[in-house]
Amino acid sequence: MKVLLIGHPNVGKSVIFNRLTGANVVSSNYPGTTVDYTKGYMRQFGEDIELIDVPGTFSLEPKDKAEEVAVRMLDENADAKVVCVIDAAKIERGLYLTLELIERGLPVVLSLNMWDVAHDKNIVIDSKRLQDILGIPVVPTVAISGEGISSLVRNIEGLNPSSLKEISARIGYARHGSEMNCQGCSGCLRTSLSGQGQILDTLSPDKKWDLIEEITASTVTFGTFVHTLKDALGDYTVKPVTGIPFAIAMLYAFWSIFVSFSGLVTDGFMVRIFDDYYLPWIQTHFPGGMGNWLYALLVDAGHMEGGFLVPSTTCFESFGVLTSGLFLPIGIVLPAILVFYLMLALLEDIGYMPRLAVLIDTFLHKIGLHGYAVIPTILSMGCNVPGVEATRILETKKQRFMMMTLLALFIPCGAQIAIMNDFIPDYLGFVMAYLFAGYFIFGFILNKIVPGRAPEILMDVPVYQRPTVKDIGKKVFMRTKGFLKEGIPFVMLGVFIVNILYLLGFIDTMASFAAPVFEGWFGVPKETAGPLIAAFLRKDLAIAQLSSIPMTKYQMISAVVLVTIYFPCIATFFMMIKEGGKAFFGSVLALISVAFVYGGFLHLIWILMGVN
Amino acid sequence: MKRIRLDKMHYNQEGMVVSIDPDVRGKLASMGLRTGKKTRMITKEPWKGPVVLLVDQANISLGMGIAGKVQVEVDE
Repeated sequence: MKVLLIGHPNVGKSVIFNRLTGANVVSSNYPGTTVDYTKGYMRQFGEDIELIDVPGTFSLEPKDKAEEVAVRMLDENADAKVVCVIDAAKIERGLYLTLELIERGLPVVLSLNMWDVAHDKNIVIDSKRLQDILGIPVVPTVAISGEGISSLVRNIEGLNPSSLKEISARIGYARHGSEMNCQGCSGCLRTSLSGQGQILDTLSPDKKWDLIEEITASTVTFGTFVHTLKDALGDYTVKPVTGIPFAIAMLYAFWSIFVSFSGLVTDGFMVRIFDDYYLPWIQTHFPGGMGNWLYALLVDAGHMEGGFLVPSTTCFESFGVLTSGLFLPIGIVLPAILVFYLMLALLEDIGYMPRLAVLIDTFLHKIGLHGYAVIPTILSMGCNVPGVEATRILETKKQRFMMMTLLALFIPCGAQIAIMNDFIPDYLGFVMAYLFAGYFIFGFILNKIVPGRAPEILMDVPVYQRPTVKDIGKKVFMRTKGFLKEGIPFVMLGVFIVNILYLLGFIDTMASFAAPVFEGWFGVPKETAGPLIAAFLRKDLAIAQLSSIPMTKYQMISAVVLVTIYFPCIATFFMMIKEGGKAFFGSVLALISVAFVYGGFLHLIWILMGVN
Repeated sequence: MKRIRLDKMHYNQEGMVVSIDPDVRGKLASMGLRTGKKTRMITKEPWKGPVVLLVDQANISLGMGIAGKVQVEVDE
């Protein structure tokens, strides 16, 4: 048996899913994280039931790629049972989705989730009566505490489809106060619903709402509306006068905690462990010693000092697979990624992101995107790969193409930022400023030249929620694990390949070959060719390499900006192919030309400033 | 009573939806905004940014263009 879990975004659907399966999924507070649908199994009624967490959707007339996925999954699993999860405090629009599901002839069980919130807001729902009217099981649940979940599961077995016709007939009876022996005559339907006296199996949106109002009139009592503290906070953080200063303060706090925490852990803790203990240990214990090619490749190539080959004193200088290859991802990047994902998870689970999206929509809509674009953008500052994946929440091909291109070009990942913060802290601000300027300038240009529609924002703004330690922990763990799994092997492989290429003299050849472009057009030393090759594997690695090449402040800023924009790293590259399809080639074309133009443009600025 | 476009409503003003352009009707219906529904303007972002509305017990945000396709009736 297959069970589909469907519902609006932010109604606790993923929490229910986690409870039933105990599987690893991310449960989040904004539309988008469950776009990648999650599958799990639960043992029930003596069989293994496949449970699918369908991306959150408002209706079965999809308006973005995530909602399309939801509808396609319903089509593909025509024989599945459906658990429809709705927010009891917002029962009306939840019933809209429920009616759409019933309209399709699907066997549905309705979970009135956040029952406690509805209670706090003085909304009283007669779930028994609702169940009789809808002709499907209706179960009040509180996903966070687990209340009602077992009853929900029990009702999945022996589920039968209802129909709009039957519901209309029953609500007609309910209105007349008689519930006895209804055989489904059509008389009351004529008076209450369709004026023409037809009995309909499908209804237009307006007719559905008429039906919902009939249903809620006899099953729901709304007490005096309670304006809670959460509502007040929600309003103040979305109103521009208070919301914009708050957003700026919040983003600034996010940034300063991010750089100071990662710097503190790296300098105060990781550097000591790696340079004082790990490096001397591996230098003494690894067979071969200075001068041996394998030792040079894996541990330490050393450097010349007064005609002698001397061993390195830091893990960074040594540039071996087992030294720098481990120090960069673990010593520098890991603390940064960890604190970044922790703060991001907090903002997501509290429910701040949709508000930020509304506030920033004004600016992003001017470049053809909309407020939602803030989600892939911020995610990309952790890692571009999930950022590119999150472009799915945007509505049109044009918006997804633009977003993907802008992310790959102008948003440095957390690993890059951490390395910059460690090696070139004085230039970090400049680099970020040039990147953000580029994001808006080229967003504006792309919007003008890319054909297609740029629809406006239309989104739900959920109430704030108290995040749970368990959900935050799970999310941070999953994302950090994703980084460790991809990051460490790629950095080690990167160090390995770059070392081999140096040994073979390939990089020197490339450097002299590319010298006219690098020195003439971009105004950076030709040695930067090496890091640019490494940048395809890992950008953080490339920036670490750059920082050891002697150049002026402005050349360094140019070089770092170039490393960031010239091409996506290999992991992002593959995700772009996967997500973008054909559009990907257009994206690459845009990437290369933009990198070339913007790199030259920066050089021009330096020339005009007279600093080159 | 006066009939105006939704995006012309003031802060905190209440109104009743009287008509919605057919090309956004389905989308808005799924989020609870339908003809005959009372709604309140929570906020409008500056520089032609989106508006935030209270519909039933939920806040929804819509861009200016979409809001312009909705007609509401408000008290003078």
